[in-house]
Amino acid sequence: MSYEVLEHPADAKFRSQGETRAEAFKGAVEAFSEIIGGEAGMYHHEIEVESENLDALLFDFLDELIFLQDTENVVVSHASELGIKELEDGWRLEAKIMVDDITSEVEVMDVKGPTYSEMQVEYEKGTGWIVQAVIDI
Amino acid sequence: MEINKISENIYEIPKEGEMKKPARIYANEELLEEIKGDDTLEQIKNVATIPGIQKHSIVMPDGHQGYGFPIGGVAAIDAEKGVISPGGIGYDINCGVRVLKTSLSYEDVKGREEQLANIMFNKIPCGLGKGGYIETDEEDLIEVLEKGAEWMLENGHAKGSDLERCEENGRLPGKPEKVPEKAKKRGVKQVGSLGSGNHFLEIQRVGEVFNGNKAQAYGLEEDQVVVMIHSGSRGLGHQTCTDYLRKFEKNYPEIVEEIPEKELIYAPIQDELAQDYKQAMYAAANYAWANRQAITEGIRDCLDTIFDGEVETELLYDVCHNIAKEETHEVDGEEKDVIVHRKGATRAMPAGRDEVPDVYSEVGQPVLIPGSMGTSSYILSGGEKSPELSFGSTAHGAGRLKSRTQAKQDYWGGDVQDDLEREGIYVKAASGSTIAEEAPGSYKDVDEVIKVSDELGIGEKVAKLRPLVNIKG
Repeated sequence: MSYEVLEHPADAKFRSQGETRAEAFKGAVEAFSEIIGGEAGMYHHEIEVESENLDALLFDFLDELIFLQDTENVVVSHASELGIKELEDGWRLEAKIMVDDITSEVEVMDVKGPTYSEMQVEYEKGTGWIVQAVIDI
Repeated sequence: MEINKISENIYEIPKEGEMKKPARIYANEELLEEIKGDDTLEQIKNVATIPGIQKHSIVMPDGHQGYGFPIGGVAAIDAEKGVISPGGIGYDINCGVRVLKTSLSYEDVKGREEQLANIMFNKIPCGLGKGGYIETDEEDLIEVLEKGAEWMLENGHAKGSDLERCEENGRLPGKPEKVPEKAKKRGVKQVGSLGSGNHFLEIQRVGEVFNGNKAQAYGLEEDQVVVMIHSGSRGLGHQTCTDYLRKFEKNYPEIVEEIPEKELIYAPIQDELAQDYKQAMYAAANYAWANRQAITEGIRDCLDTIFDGEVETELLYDVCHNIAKEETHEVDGEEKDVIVHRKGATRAMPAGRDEVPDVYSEVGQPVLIPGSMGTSSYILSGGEKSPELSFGSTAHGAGRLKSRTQAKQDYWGGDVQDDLEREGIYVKAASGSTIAEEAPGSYKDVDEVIKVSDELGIGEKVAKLRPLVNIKG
């Protein structure tokens, strides 16, 4: 699994790759954390998402990460576990997200929301699974 | 792409393909070249394909690429047979600007910039997870969503004159029950918080006055100290947009098939889902007014602390620059009800229009345009030509030129801060990278943007505001 934060005119874009879908999504969590300024990850939160297709799954998953940060007063670090399975009418993702508390000393970027802009969840021969998205900041 | 010059500062992309109307760009040659640098023109052509669009889709001189609609995009859509598009409003519903006038002059604050920056930075929450300036619980939130600035007045967080000087008096007919639960959870503890990114608080002095009569009507004079606040509806508005985008996407697969970008998704205005979104969006707009009002209260408290309660303050005005509203405009010689989508565009109504508050009925609505960090901001007045040319709208700011990543490569936060301090501008931000990302060189030249607005007569220059202290989330 590897990821990079990419150039974007106004917001933040990332791309990650992995041998499996789950690995690529794990990379997405780390990219997200780098963008907002996350740290090591002291404890965890569980996230479950069900969506109609893989693009929607990535969109809804990013939405859950943002929601988690805003409502639990934490900052996302990485996913210690992440699994994706196909359902009859869509996809299901379950993840254990490692987070840290936001203290008064830590300044973390506030994220507005996920976008569908330039989104990719695809298998590329020779490379593996590619996950790419832009988040509105 | 065919772009025809119609007249000075007006360019048009003729109707082609699926476009229902032509697309217009209000810019000079230099700004047009910058606008051509990303997908803005493609996006404004896409906006012209939306059912029910009137006259032309428009991009303002500070326009740049967004999601679905470009930032700086304006579209007036038939209020009976047209559609509503969350992407035409943006994630930060009722992101906007207000300017608070004070009885202080530059001499009173000179040398105290650092003190002012520190107290405001410490008192007014910014960044992620710092709560809001006022305490609100779930029950309060419902009332905030319903009543906006009025709830703030009822609960002692506003003066009556604050409401008279807000677009829509700080309240639209929103329905709290249409706001998604997730959005409410994000919003409950954030009333009175700046957020991050390009949101800021800035202490400014009135510099050049271009129109003495109008400046007088607005109660502005040279060297007077004012405070500009730029923030929106925070997590609540963002989540409302996200959730309705997904609902629209699931409910209208046939529209998703047709549109070039998912964020351009729209719903026929008569459909229940479209009405639900409109009422939720209005409620989120109410939240944004309450948020800016709570920040105003924070500023008043800080000024009282520093100046022993001897400073008088009065709101100049509060404008939205991410919103859709029902307005009446002349189309083909007849009055027509339209939903004007303004995404990164400011309403700019001239004298004579009903939307202008009574206190400014003779001179037109104040239009508040923030510059980038360290550059001047402007007070304009709604222009005579704005109803005819731009459905009563003008630009909203300087417009981003460089990506955040590029800015961070080009500038180091500490250097930018030092440079600005040498110019007499004190900057305090949550992080050095925010300062680098928001460095003046990352933005278009606000002076050029204002020049186009003024020459076109859609927003006319009244006064220039120079920054003294800038606080960023």
